[in-house]
Amino acid sequence: MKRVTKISAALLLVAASMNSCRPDQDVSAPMVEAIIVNGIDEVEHEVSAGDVIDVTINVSDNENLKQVKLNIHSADDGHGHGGGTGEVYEPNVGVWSYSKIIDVSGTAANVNTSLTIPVDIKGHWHIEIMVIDAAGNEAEEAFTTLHVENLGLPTGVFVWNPTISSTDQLVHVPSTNPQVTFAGDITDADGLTSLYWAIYSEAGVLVDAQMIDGSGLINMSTGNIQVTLPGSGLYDWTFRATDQNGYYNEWVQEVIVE
Amino acid sequence: MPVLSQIQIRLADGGQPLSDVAVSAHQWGRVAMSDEHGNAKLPIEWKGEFHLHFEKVGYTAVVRDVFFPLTDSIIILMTSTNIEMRQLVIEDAWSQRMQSNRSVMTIQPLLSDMRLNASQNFATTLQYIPGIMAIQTGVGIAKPVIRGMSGARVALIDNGIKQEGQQWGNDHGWELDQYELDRIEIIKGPASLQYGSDAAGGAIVIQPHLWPIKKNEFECRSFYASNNQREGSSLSYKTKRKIGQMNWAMGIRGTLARSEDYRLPTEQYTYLNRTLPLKDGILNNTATHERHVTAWMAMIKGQHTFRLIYRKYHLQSGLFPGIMGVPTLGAVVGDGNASNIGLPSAEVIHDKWMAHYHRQQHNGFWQWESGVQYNQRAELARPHQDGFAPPDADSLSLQLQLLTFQTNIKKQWRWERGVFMLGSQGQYQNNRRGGVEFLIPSFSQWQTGLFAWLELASASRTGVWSGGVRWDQSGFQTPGFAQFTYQNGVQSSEQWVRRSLVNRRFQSISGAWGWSQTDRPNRIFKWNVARSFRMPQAAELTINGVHHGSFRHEEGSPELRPEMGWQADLTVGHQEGNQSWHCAPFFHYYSSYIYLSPQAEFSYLPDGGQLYRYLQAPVLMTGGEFFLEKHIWDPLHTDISVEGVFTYNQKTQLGLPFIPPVQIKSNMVYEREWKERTCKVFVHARKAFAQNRTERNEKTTPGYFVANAGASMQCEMSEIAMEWILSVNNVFNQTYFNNLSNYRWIQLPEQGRWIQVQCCIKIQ
Repeated sequence: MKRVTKISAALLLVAASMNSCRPDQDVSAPMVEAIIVNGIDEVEHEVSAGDVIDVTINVSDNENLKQVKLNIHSADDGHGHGGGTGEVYEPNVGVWSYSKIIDVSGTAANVNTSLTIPVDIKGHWHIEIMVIDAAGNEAEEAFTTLHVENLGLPTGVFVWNPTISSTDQLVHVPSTNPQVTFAGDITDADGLTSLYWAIYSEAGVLVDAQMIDGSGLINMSTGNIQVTLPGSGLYDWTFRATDQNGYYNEWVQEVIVE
Repeated sequence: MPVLSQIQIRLADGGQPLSDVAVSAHQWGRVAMSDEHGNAKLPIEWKGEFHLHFEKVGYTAVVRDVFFPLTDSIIILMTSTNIEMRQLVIEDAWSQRMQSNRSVMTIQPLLSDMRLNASQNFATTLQYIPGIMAIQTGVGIAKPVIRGMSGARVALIDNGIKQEGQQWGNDHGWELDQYELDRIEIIKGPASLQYGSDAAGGAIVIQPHLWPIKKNEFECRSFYASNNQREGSSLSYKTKRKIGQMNWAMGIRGTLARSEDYRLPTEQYTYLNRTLPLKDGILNNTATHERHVTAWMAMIKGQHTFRLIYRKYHLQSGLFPGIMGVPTLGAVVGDGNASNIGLPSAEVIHDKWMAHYHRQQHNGFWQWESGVQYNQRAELARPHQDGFAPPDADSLSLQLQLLTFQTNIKKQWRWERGVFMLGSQGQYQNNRRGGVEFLIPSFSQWQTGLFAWLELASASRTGVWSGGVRWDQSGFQTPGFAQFTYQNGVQSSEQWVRRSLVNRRFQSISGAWGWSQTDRPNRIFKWNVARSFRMPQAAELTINGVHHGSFRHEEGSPELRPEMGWQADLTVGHQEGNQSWHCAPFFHYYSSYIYLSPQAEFSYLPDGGQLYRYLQAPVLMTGGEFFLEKHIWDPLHTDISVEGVFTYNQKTQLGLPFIPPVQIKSNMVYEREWKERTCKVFVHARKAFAQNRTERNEKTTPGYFVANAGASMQCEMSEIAMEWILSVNNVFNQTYFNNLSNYRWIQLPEQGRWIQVQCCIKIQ
């Protein structure tokens, strides 16, 4: 019995000690060395809608690279890559998503691609780069941010009553008189097709909405629009202006009745 | 009731009659209690050989083979003890022989221990047992890991019928109401000879309901957990009657439970390489609603027993939106309501009917079991796979409906030196899919198995040889699956083939042989060598899509072969006085182990990252457990165990994923009688060492220490018995990662400190 016990203990020890065994196969992950946009290696790039941008990705691996995946996605929600969360931006205007898988080989590679930024978008997007080597090791992803400006979209200036709080950026409305008034001046060089605004409760219930015909005007004023809110709580206001090219710009504002 | 008073139970030291000794016969699941004269009242109509168990708290249990009708009076002598001798006394549910004869380690956890260590689901409750851990997805979903084996390698056997749901998913828990269990048995080692494919790593066996002791028995069990405000109640009623020569019993149980959103000690999570904040650590939309029902009846007439069981399991659970599709901040922000279930969500309904017939014979028995199961799983979500959902798609993203029929037949012959058993097992499955997403296609599959089993006492009567051989054949067919794609709402002209036709046949011969020493009751010495097999599952052959439960694009391989392995297990131990110990090393080698391998390519699906494909490789698994329990002082039970599993994939030279780290577990229970109440104070502590031996791209996990503590009180007033249990889990509020949690992949830690209250009232 003693011998059996010793053998059992030895087996357990062997199992535990084998925990430290290291393989001789490739377990090193590849790396993204740089993401260069229009020749510049920065964390954020200022670009304009409709631009054609040149993206160069430098990647490396200790043995053999296999694939690079380039992914473009909206960055306005404040997500981050590589462990931390990111900055929350104004909501993007328009949709732009793009994905491309490129085969590579060797211990280092430069991947070059041209991208055309859609003409109807505005806001912040991430260019995210992922890399896999021939053994299946995946790199820590890397990204850069594109800040897309768009002068071709409608622009607007709004006045609120009560005014927007400078501390929390909300419009505070007293529950004793739950009324809010806003007025907007909208401009678009191509002519406006329509203006649309809506207010929803936090639960997603529509409180009020209106569609205004733009009639191709370059400048439009909504005049004072007064909305009575049904009770205490948080409300989401959105305003969308669409021009004759079909491009639109959108503004949002939170209103709280307290 | 006719009474056989020839069985008298007495104290070995002094010969005084012993009352309140539970006398049970395994074949019937019935229990009789000895009276103040030490006499056990048993039905006179019994004929044939029975295993009788004599059990009383504080006494060494006795098991005796008895032939009825009795020709001589029998006196059973019992000795007092401080140590629980579970491993020596229980009986194997499959062969209905003493477990001590079996060469594979089998344990039967005490329900009282399970209640003290109760967690929010059955699998995590078992984690206090050496060698057992659980793969979890949040708090409501988990499945057990036995010595590093889980999923398709650990079978759940419910009254002889294998549980069949969508078990290929790590995030698909067992459809089981943990409050429904009277007795369970855990096989830590190969069990495919007995239970077929899917039990190669072990099995958890749910045994028949215990026959009610009193004519009517009511039970109400309520529970509350603070983390996610989980609360619920489980009500049961059992009764027994005798009509003419027929004894019958029936029972019914209903369980209702609900929980709110799950809370974790973290401020962010990472999915698809994107890190997003979590407000107050709340996983939005993870509330659950549970509704379970079990009804059963059993009839005994002479040598015939018939049981009928129906179970319905119904779980509705919200799915964290941050892991469905490309994650965005808008998806993870809560709606302010912690208890509602919005989109995305999952609903699982599992209906199961089981029938069991047993005929006891003078030299053995005949047994027939049959079961029908219908598992329905539906996942609802707003369409999020760009390009696959038609413009008018509804919220049904994935639907799987699995219908399973199973029948087992066994014939056992007994003689003085042993037992021989022949049996067969047959199963047919039909799976239908629906929804706009695709994971596995509709398929049908069948399995048949024939086995022979021999248990033979050695000529010197020092032990028992046991083992057998099994032949299995199975078939799998699917027509495949193709779907249209959509671009700007316009349907493609041709369908995209996600999985083409697969038609496979598998055949396998497996077996086992082992030895168990039986001539020294205090000693445990067993060894077992098995040639095990496992048929590839439907998902391993055909899956092709982003599996949100595992957070990756998984792809099956239609050409997989059966998983074959050699498994060697050894158990040595000793029980004497107030202490016992055992050591159980194991060594397993699989020539064609099926595993999910990260590939050197990206998924072509918009919400998929790296592609993972099912492949096969030679794999070595070894490790073991050492367990020591001791009553340092009569009322204080203490135990400590050390366990570890080492895995080595010869192809990758790396470990396998989801392997438990080396751990030390310890339990202390102080029990005292106080004013006719039984009070317990307990502590369960677990130290897990770092898991640095991982599969490629699997994150290493640092070590952690977690302790749970609590107290319970039991009291009896006339015909009412009450039990209260209060436990504090993760007492020190540690923030730690568990490498067996699916949430580890998205950088979510385990629960912080949480409190659980359980209350049970029994009326007899």
